[in-house]
Amino acid sequence: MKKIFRTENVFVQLAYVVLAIAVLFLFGRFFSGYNTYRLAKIMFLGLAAMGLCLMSGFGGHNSLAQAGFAAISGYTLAIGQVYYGWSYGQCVVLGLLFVLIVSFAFALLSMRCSGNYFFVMTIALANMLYICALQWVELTRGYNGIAGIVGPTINGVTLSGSKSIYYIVALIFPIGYFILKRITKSPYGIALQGYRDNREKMAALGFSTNLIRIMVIMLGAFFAGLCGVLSVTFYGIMSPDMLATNMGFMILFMSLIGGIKKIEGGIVGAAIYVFLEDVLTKYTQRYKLIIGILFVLVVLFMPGGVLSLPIFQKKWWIRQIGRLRRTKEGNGG
Amino acid sequence: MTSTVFFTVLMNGITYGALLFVVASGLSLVYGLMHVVNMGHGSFYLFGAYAGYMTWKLTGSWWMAILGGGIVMGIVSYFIKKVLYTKSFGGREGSLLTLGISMILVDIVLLLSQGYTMAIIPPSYIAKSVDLGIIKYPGMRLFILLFAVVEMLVLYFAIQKTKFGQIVRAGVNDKDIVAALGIKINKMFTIVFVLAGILAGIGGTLSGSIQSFQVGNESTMQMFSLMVIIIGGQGSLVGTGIGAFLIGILDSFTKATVPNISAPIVFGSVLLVLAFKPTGLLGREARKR
Repeated sequence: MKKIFRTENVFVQLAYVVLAIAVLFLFGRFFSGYNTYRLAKIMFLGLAAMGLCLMSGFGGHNSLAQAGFAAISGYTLAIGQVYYGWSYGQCVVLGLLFVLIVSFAFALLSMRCSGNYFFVMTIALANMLYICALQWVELTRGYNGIAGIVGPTINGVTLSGSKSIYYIVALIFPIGYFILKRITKSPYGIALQGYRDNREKMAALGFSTNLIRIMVIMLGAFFAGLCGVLSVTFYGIMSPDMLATNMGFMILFMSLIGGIKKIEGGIVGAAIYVFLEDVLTKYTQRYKLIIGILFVLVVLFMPGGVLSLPIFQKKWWIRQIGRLRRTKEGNGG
Repeated sequence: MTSTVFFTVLMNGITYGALLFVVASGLSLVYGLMHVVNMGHGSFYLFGAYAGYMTWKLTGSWWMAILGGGIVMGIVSYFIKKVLYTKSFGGREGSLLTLGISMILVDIVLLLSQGYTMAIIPPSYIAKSVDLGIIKYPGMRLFILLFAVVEMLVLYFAIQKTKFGQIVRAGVNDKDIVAALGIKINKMFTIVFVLAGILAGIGGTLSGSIQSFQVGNESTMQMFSLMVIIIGGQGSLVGTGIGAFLIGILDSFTKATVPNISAPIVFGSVLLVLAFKPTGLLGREARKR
């Protein structure tokens, strides 16, 4: 009886996903427009950051190219819809497919690089895409970006504007989180952690480390691609700002400050980032300075991110409760 | 493409390559010795350019500006090394740290300069055009080429012939053994880091003398100098030189002929080099354990 309610059970997890979607939809009904705006931003940035958590925390490959991958699907959607008039579904599928193809090619290209070299390669990719988006004016309209992107048409009603797109984001996000969580718990996820810790040993045990590596890069890129599609639909405009190295850096910042070793770190970090951006820009223009200092502090003193703080650990609570009980007994005796 | 245009584009490429060498040589040394991909090198460059500009404004002397850009950046990088890199941790944490440093420095420059575009004007005996036979060419760019060549020779001599260079070369190969031999490798790191800062600062001032600069230029320089050291190979000075001139010429020619896709060609070729020779053209595999 007790086994059914354990969160390892797929059906229980699915029930949680449905519950989460329902709660998020309720938020959409009761929250004001600005709050849903922030919530949607947290969610789609969180998708990219969680992809990076999988790639970096579980696979051991840091990447600055998340924003670049997001931009590939975003531009595909924008160009397909605005230039060619394709339907939303077609564009999304095409965009995600495109992200997978590019990330696959990138994974093959970067096969021999690891550690810092891989990091540098992702920087090269991100910059190539960014400068390409700036320079290739015929296709991307340069700095101006491509405007006029609308959401899917359901029952003859075209969804557009941040309020209605919020519901799409709220639908996709829990499912994405569920999939990522399942991946980390699957045999592949375990093998991935083994690959991160000791590549030679995994190869000697008969795992195809190359396949594991290609898979994790493609998975990370796929979730970045989802983020791209959602953010473009959300803002209704695709411009090169969204894929600058700065944005890739911010996604890395999110996963780091949230806790890169856990999938949840991505969403926590995205929430912190959106909150910081919101609060700091209200009071000061120097918010990049503060984010930079925070970044340095996190890297130096808190490599596990916010989620590594004791309050977020089960052991700490158990110990605290135990201490409380002991003092009570001491008082009683 | 007529011969004058061709020659101009070629000279632009070569002088840009020279500038890239001045900036990237420090990055290459840091990467080779400390195994840190300094993502803040572009911001060092920008900070140095701003320091040079301020010195030029205050003293009115262009030579002082070059000196000021170098010295201020040297001091800043000394403090960065002393405060943040107390342990010599290379690799992932070290590289991530530089991202934060880059952000802080760029924002400080933005705060100080208020986002204005700045330009340093070199004295007329340097800035005047020089007749090269086929074309007339700005002297300032030729000065950068001269500076790069001198710097290359000095660094080459220092690394190949002196004790300091011996230690650096040995450290690139295997820093643990060097440390075990009783050499204070952390001190070497400080020297190299400060040297990199000085070179980036001077590079920034020089580049501010041929074109105006503002906040935002640092990312381009960051990327190009990273590409240079990728192509050249880590810690290899000759490789950095070759990489700098290759990238400079490639960038100049692709911008002149196919401006729309010049960046994909440059970065794509770098990716190809990395794919087939991950250690760069002249780099050797450092010993891993």
